[in-house]
Amino acid sequence: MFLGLSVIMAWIFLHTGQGVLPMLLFHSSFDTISFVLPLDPGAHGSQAFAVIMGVIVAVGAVVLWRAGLDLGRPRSVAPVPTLSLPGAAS
Amino acid sequence: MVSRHRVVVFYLFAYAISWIPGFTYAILNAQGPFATPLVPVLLLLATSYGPTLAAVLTLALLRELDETSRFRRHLVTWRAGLGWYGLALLLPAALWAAGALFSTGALGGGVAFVPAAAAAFPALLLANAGEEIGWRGCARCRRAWCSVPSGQGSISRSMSPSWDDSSFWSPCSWACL
Repeated sequence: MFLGLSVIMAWIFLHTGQGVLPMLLFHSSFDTISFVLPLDPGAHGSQAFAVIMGVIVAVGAVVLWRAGLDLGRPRSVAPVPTLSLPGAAS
Repeated sequence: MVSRHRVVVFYLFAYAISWIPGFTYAILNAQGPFATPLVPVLLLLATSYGPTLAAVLTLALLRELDETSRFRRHLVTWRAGLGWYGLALLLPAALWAAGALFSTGALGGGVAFVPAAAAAFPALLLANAGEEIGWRGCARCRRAWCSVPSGQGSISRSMSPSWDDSSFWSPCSWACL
């Protein structure tokens, strides 16, 4: 599950300028929902956790499959400097 | 020495700073109810902010302007499309809820519903800030964690988005989740 979450988080992180704030929202949202929909103790809770884990891993796999190993990291293209040679006609 | 082993230093700081209040909380919690509710809150906050303190300490020891400015840039970078913020906010909830609903439908239970717990979101934002600022903000200074010489096969190397971001695949990064 953590690998799936890592893929999703890295994907979002790379597409949001590598800022901390989106990751903070993601992390807190995940924690909050785990309190709003807590797992029951016992076998049913364990099964539910396995299902949730499966959903997260599946989505992480889809992100990896769609975005590629670099997770669709936006490439920053450096501007090409223009040279002005002395005496050259413009 | 710190410059060469910055990753080790960062992780040592992070775990040392986090575990001290963490273990203190666990011991006090096992002994019985707290005298005041402020004590567990402060201890848990101190636990959460361990990575941030570790990052600041590591950067202070490194004294590298490049690292420090990069750390600051991670903190102040917030310009992204609203859609990405919406995704960051809603996707984890949607994934958990989808799994919970499927589980309830297919297995007949396993998940409770406590809507009042949503009120904990602001407190969780405050607590998690300590982890995210440390782990994500200090991504570069722990990049060597998964670094392997070019050409050598490694799951972490091959899956990492870049050298700089390879730390996202480290177990310690997962642990902060």
